[in-house]
Amino acid sequence: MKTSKKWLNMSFALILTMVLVLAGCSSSSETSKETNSNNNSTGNNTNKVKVLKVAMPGNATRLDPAFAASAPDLTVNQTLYNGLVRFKPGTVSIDGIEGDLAESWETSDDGTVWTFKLRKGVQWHFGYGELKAADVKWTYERLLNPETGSPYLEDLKVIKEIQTPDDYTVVFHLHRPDPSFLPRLLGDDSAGAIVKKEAIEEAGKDSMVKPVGTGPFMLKEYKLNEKVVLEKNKDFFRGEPKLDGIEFITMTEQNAVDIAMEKGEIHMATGNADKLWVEKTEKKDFTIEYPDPPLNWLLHLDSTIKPLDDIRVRKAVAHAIDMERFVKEVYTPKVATLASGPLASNMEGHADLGNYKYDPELSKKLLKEAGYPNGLELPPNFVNTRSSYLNQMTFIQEQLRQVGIKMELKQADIPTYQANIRKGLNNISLYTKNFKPHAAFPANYFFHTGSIGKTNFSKYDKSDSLIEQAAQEMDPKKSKELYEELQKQIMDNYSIIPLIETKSILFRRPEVKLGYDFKGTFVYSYPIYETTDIE
Amino acid sequence: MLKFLVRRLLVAIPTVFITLTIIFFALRVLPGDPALVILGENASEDALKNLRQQMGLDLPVWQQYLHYLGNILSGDFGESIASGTPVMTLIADNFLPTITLSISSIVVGCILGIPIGILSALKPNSWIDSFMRVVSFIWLSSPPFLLGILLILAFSLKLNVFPSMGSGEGFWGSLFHLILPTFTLGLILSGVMMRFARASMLEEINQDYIRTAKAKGIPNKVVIFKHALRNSLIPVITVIGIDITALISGAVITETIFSRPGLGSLAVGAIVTRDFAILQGCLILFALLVIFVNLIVDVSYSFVNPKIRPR
Repeated sequence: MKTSKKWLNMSFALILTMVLVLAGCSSSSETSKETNSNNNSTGNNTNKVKVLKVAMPGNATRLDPAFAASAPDLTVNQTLYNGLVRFKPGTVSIDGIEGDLAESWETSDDGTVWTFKLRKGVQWHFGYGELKAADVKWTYERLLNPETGSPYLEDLKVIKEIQTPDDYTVVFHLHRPDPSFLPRLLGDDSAGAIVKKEAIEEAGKDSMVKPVGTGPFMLKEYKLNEKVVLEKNKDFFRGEPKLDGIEFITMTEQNAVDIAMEKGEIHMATGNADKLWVEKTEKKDFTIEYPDPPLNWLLHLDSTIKPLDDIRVRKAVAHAIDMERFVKEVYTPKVATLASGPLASNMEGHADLGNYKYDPELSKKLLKEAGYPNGLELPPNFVNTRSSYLNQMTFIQEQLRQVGIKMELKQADIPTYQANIRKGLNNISLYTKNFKPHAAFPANYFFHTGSIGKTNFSKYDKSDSLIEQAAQEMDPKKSKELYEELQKQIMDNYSIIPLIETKSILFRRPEVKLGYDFKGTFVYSYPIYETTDIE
Repeated sequence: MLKFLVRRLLVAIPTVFITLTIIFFALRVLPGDPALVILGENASEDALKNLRQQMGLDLPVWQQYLHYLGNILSGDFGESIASGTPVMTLIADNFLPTITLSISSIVVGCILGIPIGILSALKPNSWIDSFMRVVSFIWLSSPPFLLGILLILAFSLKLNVFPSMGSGEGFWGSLFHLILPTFTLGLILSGVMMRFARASMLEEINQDYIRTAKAKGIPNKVVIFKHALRNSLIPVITVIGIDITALISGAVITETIFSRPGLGSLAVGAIVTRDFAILQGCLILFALLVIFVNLIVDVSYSFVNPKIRPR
């Protein structure tokens, strides 16, 4: 008996010791050379280290820009890399594109040759030397190589050849004139971020987590599932950053983000589009921003399958949905407005064509004319499990039911939703995507037959020649007319129903000074530059 | 005892094998294409085909299964499909935070739950008993996401005693960051412990041998703590074993609320990105953990009550 008692006591002591040791071990494995604390960044003492803490809604897994796709990937990469050109900090408009690694550029008269002059003296992180034209050439040739498997290949296929007459000149020869070529090269969304061949090759399989760029910050520590820690690049070509470092912390739970923001444990984060969240957070001492670009939500009706192959049925669907009511009940006006056409309102080439009028009686009449006097039942549709998708689709489901159209909805997570769309299992797909602000991008993505089976969910096939003609029209006025005509054709076909435009919500603590006038962001988060500071 | 251990380990081999097989096939029937997740919906069929080939997903399932078994037996869990990081590295980084949280929660659950359960049993139907039963009911019914948020609001936001997020730096920092997550899971576990300890103790103190011991004039303290307590702990230990699985699932939520690294959040992230390699690694580890804990539970019976020592 005594032995057993002794064992019990020993076991208990052992477990307690284990907890202490494990806590110690888990901390020692995470301990880095960082010297910051939660409070030091907000103090006035200049000796203290200024580390900006940013909450990210997921893990940044692809810090090799050739593969970066998620919001966390783009957010981190924006601080690590530079492209030839960039959006002027805080903007996302075509007019605001300015040189980044390129000092200047010129275009041939026919728009097929683009010559870029590089800045001199731009240094790679970690002593990889000076940026040269060969690095730019290698970056783009890598993206254009199908074996690389970059998702940006399709956007860059217009490039025919790249030449480097000297170390600071890069010449792009295109297959055709391309008025949207500059936005294609933007470093902001990773596609145009220039990488170093030697660094990528040395990293081998680890290239996703060993980024080497030219940006204001460079990698200090990468911990998947926890955080990405960056430190300032003292040799940055625009000058030494004001911040000493950045911590991008993975925080997937909005309540946890809100509390950590309130406590000052993090400095900036993504908010929630929900009306209640906005009203609650506006009362607190945060700066809340609703940056451009707006996301244009479209309902894609597959016009090749019954009963949606009948335009009267598509019209009946379009006129049955009252999105104005949805916007009023679910969002605040700062976050959402009615969509004004198949292209987002910030697009170069957008035409304000308004939305289909809500008229349930007309819908019922159209259904009757189409041979469905007692209504009809659509095949089941899958819906993305994100609340923004679910809210809209369940609202639409109810609106359709009121005119006699039944539609069963099945929830699917994002990978399943994507796979099902590709398999043609959805006849009505709700979708939105952030595009570079030129009509050429969404036009090709959603409405060209080359995208059928991929992203042309409605299988729209009426305007290929118009899309191709507009894509190479260098005269801005003519280009605008062509895109306006394209949008009219799409609206007349009723295979796309523009629903709403929503803006993302970002919020930050008052001590964060962005260092630029903030109107828009392309990375779903606050861009962080060398001018960003904590007071 | 050694024989018993060897026998249990041998029995564990087919269990592990069956578990590995179930994990493999369960992941393969998951809808969603990992190549499509990586390359994005705009990827061409050729690019998708190339990537599937690189990942070995184009091979017949039986070949993939043999590769999978072969790799695991040789200790190779593969690399993350998304980031290329070896799965073993990721698991090693995330294992310690999860196991620390699980063990500390068990400790808190036992320290709070067992003594109170016994106290309730010794004074059945008293006001202490009624009060404790209500308290245990509250803990038992609290989902970790609710309790976690309430603890953060109270002790982090209002009282500003503990941090609300992260795993902390340095030994004391880590320990400090561990307190609220530990109590989130530990309080829930203490509710279970309290109920089992009470029921078990009540049963024991009404047994004939206790009555005999009391009749022989053995002091009440000795009867309770030396005889009844030891026997009443056996079902409680079983519950700890069973609850390990619940703790792991609870850890997923707790890690998310407190933005801590750990196997739970690693596995959930892998489901979202269809990162089969990470998911397989995590599931295998969870399965091994459950098998190991059950073994420990079986062995620990003998220390609590030598009469049931295995031969």
